[in-house]
Amino acid sequence: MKLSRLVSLDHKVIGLQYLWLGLISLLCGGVMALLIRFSLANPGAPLPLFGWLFGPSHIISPAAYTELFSLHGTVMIFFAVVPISIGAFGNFLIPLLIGARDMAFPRLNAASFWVQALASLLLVWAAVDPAGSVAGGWTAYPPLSTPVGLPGLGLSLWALALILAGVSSTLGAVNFIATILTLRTPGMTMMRMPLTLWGLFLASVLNALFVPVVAAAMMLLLSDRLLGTRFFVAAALVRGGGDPLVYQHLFWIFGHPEVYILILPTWGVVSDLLAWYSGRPAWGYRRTVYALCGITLLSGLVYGHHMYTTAMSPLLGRGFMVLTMLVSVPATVLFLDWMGTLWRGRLRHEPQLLFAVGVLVVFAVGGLTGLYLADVPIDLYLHDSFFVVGHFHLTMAASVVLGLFAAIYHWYPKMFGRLMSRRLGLWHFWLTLFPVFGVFLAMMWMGHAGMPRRLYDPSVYEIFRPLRPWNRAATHLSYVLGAAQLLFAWNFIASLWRGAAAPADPWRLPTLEWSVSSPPPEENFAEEPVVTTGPHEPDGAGGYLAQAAARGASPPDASSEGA
Amino acid sequence: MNDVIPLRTRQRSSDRAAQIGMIVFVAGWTMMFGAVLSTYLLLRSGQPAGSSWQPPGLPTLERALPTLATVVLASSSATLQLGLGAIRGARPRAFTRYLVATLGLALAFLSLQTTSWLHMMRRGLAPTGSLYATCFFGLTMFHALHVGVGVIGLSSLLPRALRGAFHVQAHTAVRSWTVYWHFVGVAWLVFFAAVFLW
Repeated sequence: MKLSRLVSLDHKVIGLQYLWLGLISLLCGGVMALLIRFSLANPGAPLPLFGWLFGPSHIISPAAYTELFSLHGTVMIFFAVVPISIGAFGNFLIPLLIGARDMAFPRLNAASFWVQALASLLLVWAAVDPAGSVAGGWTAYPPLSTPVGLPGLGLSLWALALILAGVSSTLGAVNFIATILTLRTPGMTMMRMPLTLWGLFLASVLNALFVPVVAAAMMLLLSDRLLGTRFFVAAALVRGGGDPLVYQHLFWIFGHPEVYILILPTWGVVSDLLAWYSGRPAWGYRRTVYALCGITLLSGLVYGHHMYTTAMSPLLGRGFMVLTMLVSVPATVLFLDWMGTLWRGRLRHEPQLLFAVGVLVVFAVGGLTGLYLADVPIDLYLHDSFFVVGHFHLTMAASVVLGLFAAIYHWYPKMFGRLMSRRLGLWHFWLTLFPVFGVFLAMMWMGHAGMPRRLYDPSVYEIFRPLRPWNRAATHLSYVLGAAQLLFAWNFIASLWRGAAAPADPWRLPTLEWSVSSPPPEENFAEEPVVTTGPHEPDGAGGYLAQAAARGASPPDASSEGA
Repeated sequence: MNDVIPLRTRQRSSDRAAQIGMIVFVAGWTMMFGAVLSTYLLLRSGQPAGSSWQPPGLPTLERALPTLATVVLASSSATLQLGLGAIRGARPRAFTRYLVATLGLALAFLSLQTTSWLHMMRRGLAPTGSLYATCFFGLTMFHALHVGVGVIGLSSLLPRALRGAFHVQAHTAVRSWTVYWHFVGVAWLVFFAAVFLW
């Protein structure tokens, strides 16, 4: 039945559902980014081709621009990256990589997908609702986000969508943690897990602990909007008002760990891919795990660096500064481990390796620029400028999305039983990497010159007029970046039909998912694999020792495979 | 028995998985209640010096009904725990009775809360207009929402309880909802102390 297929409890089906939902959101978020770029380069100019979206004038108005950048952030973070990196890869990979039949709570799993889908619908409603716009930025700071600033249904629906997305993430996290802790096949110790799983595991821990905080903030905000309470409405605005800064605290207590929720799965994937595609073990596996744990721990303690300009006590600011700077220690360990893994490796020229190396490069540049923002005196100048926008796009957006591409090129054969075109993938990489650097470095350059973020037309200020060519250049490069993604879309979709059939183990890799057919049979493993070694132990003959000893001895029973 | 897959089956590890799942869940929800509570504490302690939390002219929060509600909610935790014990002692009928009692007490708690909101409103306390009222309504309603979710969850156990589907080996759902219910109970004790006894 179609319906039973739709509400499947199979982790692989749910993973693919998440993947499609996430990719559609990624497309929407990407188009919004291009519209934002168009408007920044040509403020007030009529938009060609798609101008009808913005009414008879075909002009992206300041209000529409504000809504665009608010939705771009929301969609990309909560509806594209999280569903793909955690929803799709987490669900698809965790049971396969630990040798389990399914997740610990399949029903909870299906529920978390459908709650996420419902949240997406609510967000679409919020975006198109004429009664009020979602124009509070992705952070929705009060008092702007209270009825005093933005009355109407739009932002309330937005907050509700975020609560639902949060519920979905939390349910997923509960499931992931329980699955990884209890369903590992015999011999699969925590320290024999592929690093991908460590990334997903730690991201889930952060998800479970910190997403509820933003859910609480959203509930209180909704209460302010719908019931008329006064938690976050500034006392200066209404009698008996509360404190908007409390919202900022709640938001960033969540918001900073969220950055790591987004990137930890990618770091895990990159750590694995760099090893597998250079024919080497991951250099310092344990150290990498400890570095990831260290970053996870620190990520909960540094949120104050988002609030240096809120007149916090200088002592507190200094504390947050030191803690933030400390992140660079485990991050550097991680980075050196990646370099050490690649060192003298026999690199395989596949798109997934290039994208993984791309993450490394982008993360290095993005991470270094983070040091400026961690520093209180410099941040006071750079705060809310395009420098911040460029920084977090390189560190968090570009590196995460490059990592997602790497993961897709790598696991696509297992997911769909087809191979993607390698040649298109290589083109996709180079046509993505250079514009990414161009766009975001230009942003940092402009931010350094003082250009504030979220401004509709910076050239209204005379001092920013000389930046116009930079803005134009960034916009034109972003068109190249957008066009390059068409290569990926074509490769992804056409390969579903025209790609060569994938063998069980197209990349000759040792982890459990490659020991079963592509795509895997419904029950995953015909018999319980017994793991005897780590995820990238060389066999001395240029390959890897299979993780499960029994592999090959008893091939999967063909008759038990579903249609 | 060809179609039986000799993988580590869900039966064997489901109990542990449910336990871990509940721990993670409670940790997350503690963060959520903690966030709401800290909001209240920050707002209240951030009052300008010299100004009283309760603005002049607004009624004092009455303690009688909430105190009664506290007792009711605590008893409901007790009856549910007794019910869990009944399942473990292989007395499924007794569990059904305890479950119904718990649901009754839960609904009583919600009615007491509603009554106390209406009382306060009738005496001139609206959610708008002051932080004092905002925090009273906000915190109690936030908590009541979770009691409501618990009522739905516990009710969902009722059909299975009536069928006698729970027994010593199979009562993961009962245990999970019991943990949830105790969590909501403990959260109320903290909220009650913070809102009514400060």
